[in-house]
Amino acid sequence: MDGAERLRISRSQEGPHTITIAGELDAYSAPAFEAALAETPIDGDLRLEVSEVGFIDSTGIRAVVTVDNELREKGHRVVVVDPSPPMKRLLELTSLDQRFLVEDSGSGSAQ
Amino acid sequence: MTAGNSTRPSTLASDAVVIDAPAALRSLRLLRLAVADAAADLDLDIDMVDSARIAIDELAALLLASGEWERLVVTIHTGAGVLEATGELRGPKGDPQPVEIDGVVRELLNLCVDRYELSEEYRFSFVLSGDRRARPIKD
Repeated sequence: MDGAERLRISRSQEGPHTITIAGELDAYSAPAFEAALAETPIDGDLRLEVSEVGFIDSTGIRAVVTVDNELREKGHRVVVVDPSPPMKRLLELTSLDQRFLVEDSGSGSAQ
Repeated sequence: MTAGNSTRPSTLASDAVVIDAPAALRSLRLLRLAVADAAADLDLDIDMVDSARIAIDELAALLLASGEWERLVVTIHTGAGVLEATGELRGPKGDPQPVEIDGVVRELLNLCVDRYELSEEYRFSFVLSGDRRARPIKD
């Protein structure tokens, strides 16, 4: 086991770059997340659909920040879409909700 | 010593839960499940349950980053509206590195629990009380 079994990652083949992650993004599964992202060519904003993330810790959020840093060097960024309550709370606790564009498709609002 | 405010449970309550797990990152989920169950027994709100999950995950992960060990033993007990947890690594395989904590994790722990300790002896503990409310760092 390498952590991938606790994290489901799916990619949209159409439209904007969208990756859906579900499960737990922690120190155990973060390497699987990073590997999946490394295999995905991205030349635009990355929409990260995280409504089914049941847990995320500092390692997980660092992995997202790393991807965002790499995209920003190319003039793009990560858009966090429909964050689950644990994801939203960690973003707020770390003030990263001020860094990422956060979209809530339920209300149609963005921060 | 890298620590928050010092605390260590002084007694082991009869209803304490003891988890003796492989010293591996895959054990983090088991710890989160156990502490969430204990927090739910205290009727903590969902944010406090989440705080307990974050605290045990972060502290155990910091210990595990020190190197290879045989076992990770965690004890969780509750009483009088307070959740206390301790953890320690046992059976080093080789020479473990010092336990280090960075600023982000330190702030996160300060926001999530009343007090915590992370010792050079590869142990941690934390206390979370029901009347605590976490504050965003930005505040």
